[in-house]
Amino acid sequence: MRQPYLVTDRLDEVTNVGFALHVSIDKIHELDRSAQVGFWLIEANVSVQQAQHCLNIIRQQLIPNIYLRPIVFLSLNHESDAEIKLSGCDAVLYQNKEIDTQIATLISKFENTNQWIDKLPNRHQDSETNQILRTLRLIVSRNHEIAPVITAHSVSGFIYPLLETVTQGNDSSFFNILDFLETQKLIIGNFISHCHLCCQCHCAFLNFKEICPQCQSEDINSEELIHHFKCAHVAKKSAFQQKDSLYCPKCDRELKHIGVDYDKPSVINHCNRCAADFQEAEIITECFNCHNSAAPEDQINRKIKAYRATAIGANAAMFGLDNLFTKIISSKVKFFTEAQFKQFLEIEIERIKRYQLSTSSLGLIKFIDIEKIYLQQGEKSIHFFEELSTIFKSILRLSDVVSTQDQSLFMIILTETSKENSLKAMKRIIEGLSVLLSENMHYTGSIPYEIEEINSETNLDQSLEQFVKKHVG
Amino acid sequence: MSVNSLILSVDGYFYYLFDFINSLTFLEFLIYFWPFFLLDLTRYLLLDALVIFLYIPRKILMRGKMYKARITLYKEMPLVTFLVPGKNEGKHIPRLAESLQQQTYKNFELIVVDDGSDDNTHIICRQLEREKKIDKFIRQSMRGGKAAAANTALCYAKGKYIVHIDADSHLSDDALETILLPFYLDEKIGAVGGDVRVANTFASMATRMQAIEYSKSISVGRTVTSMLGILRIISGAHGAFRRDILQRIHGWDVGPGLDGDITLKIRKLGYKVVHEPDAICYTNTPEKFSQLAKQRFRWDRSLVRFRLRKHSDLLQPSKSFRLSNFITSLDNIFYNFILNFKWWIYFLLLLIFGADDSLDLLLIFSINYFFYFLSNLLEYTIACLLYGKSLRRENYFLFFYILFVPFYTGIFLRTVRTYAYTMELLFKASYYDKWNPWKVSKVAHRENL
Repeated sequence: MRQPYLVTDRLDEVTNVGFALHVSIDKIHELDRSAQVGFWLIEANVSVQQAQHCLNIIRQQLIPNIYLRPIVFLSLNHESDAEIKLSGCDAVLYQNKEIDTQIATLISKFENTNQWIDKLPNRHQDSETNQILRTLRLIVSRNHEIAPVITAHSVSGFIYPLLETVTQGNDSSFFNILDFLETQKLIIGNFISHCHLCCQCHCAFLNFKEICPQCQSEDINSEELIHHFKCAHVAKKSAFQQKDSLYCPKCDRELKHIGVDYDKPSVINHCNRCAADFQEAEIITECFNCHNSAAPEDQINRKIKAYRATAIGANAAMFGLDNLFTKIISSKVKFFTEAQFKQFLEIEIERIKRYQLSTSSLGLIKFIDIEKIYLQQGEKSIHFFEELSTIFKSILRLSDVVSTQDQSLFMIILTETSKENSLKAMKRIIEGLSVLLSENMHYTGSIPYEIEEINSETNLDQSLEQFVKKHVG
Repeated sequence: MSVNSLILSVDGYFYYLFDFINSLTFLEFLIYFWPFFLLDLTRYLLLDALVIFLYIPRKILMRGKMYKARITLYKEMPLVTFLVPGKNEGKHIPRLAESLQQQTYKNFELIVVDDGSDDNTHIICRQLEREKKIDKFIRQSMRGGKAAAANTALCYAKGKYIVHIDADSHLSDDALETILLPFYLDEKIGAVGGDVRVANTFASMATRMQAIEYSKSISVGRTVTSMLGILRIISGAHGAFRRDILQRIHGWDVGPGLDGDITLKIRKLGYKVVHEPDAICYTNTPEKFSQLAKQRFRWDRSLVRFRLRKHSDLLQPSKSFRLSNFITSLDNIFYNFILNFKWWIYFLLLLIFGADDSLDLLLIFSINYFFYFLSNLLEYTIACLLYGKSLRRENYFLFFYILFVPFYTGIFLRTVRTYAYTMELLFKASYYDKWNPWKVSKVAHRENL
């Protein structure tokens, strides 16, 4: 029987609210694996912000069994509902009502989610760092559409409360994750609204201003033009104005009826700074957050959608993301698993040792985190990976053996290639990668690599350990 | 001898023609051909020849003054405003803006006013404004008529001089500089008319006829009236005005015929108006005779509406009476309005008293045709002499078409003109012209403007 677990950082007060099962936020990851958690209950009576802090800590846990479980806020009344709505909790438990009934209802409501979490392989492992997978799993586990909430509390103007905690409020990364998941058809989005975001900081709070096209001043006035039919005189309305009436300055006749003896054919703007008269003012947007000014067409026009998981997404959430990069790079360069690579290396060592006729080399390259690419590039990641694969393909030969570890460390056996020539090939790869990274991600750091000659003493594990120790730390 | 048998025999025709001429006494000759000898020959051919042969040496003598005027102009470098009002003229504006970029005098602004276009004019012009090829584009969503559109532009013009041009025209490279020079020769000059020539000369027979007509009536005709101080019109297609004068008279009044109207208004203030044949503007003219007839029907009615009605005070003694203005108006009314009807009287008189049979009528018609052909030939030659360096190759080819001009001016234009005058006199037809929006025409009619 699943039970609510009260999570708190004030254990002394636990007894007051009458929940037998409780856990300290600091010790949540130490909770017994057999615990039948129905949902995490966080007390939000005193401060919703404090409850939110607790929620964030739970959602940032690396153990799927913890961070995926539903979270319920315990509240006395409806006063804080608006604030709670944005917190990302799954439900609210009101203390002043039939609490047992509410708990039973919630347990039943979350049963499908909990069952799904229970089916996850390695759900107790402390290794869930991939933000994309965490986002996808949160969407899939809830099994309903994740809709955006419009709010002034977020710079992007919209938030997805359940998912916000994954990227800890970094909106651009968060939107990139959603874009990526959608392009991979793991989730599907239903259009809700459009939103103009600042191209620099992704803030939705933009001030749309009309400015003078000549001096860019905001100090402009607009005035109607009047056309007097009788004498064809046209001038600003102020030229006709005499107290409450309109008199034509050309023929001194009073203008009585619009449409009969005069009309207003257009409106003209006047700049109070440079005295320019113009009809079409320029529009400029200024970000309230970073104060960056840009033309509206240069800002990001983002479609805001409600998301739900696809069948492929549900499968990927359960069994892990199919490695996109490996998939793309495999289409261009033959990739071997780490175990296969080790076998090839052993064969090569034996071959060289026996015939002592040829020289081969082992190359190692540490690439930046693939996840950083996902987060920064979003849906453009695919093109990025394709370009990256092209670099590998253009330099490596079909006889070379390539494998990867953690998608960011590449191991290459350059057969029948001296250390000197391997070094040249490796430098060409590094140059290509550097250009690609600096142009697309403004990454200017160095890309570590090593080359060693394959001989009887070559030991892959040892070489990897030394390489990681030396370059990654 | 019947007319038919005469036509069958060319030799016979010429035999009878010479026989007829030989049989005429001097008095009979004058009686038969008085319109040509007494009126058209003296007023147009002889006067044109006389004045132009005075104008050309005068122009040479004026070179020094013109040079000084040019130096003064460039020293002062006044801002000049080009006003281009129009409806659905978007397609012409890029070419116009481009041609203005080629002007030798560069200190100008271009203001385009869209008078309630219902095509993509505003999109084209707004884009040109963004590209800084137009300095100001004003879109009037409600059509107010050409005068109102020009006045809107005037409202925002900053130039010391205003040049009004049509959207479908383009200027020769030195047109702006040349049209400004008269202002620096005589400070009493309030407005200068530029020369208007046909851009699409060889598009059709109608445009060829108009090209010859323009060279006679605008290039030569206005140079002559300008020399005589009786210029009555500055073409809307190409005219320069002092802005202070335009503001004093509050711009243009309701048209049609607003260009002639504003010229008279400026003359009434005591300013001189002159024509500058070397400031050249090329304009597109109607390609079909039916379109041309409509255009002339509109233009010709304005003589009745403005000269006879609105500015009839020019003919009456008053404090502001000026002889030059009196002659200007009288010349226009007499030669264009009254003498237009003389032809019908002439025909009538011939039918009743003059001709014994149809052969005589044919012969009189043929001789008249020959005289007018010869007159047109000489007038066009004068125009070519006036053009000087600006003479184009196409001008020579037009000599071949002069043979048809007496038909064009004597029959086609005269019929249209007579119809226009009659309709305006009897029915005030100009107030129902769609050229102005109905809301404006209604008020103009009510106010008897």
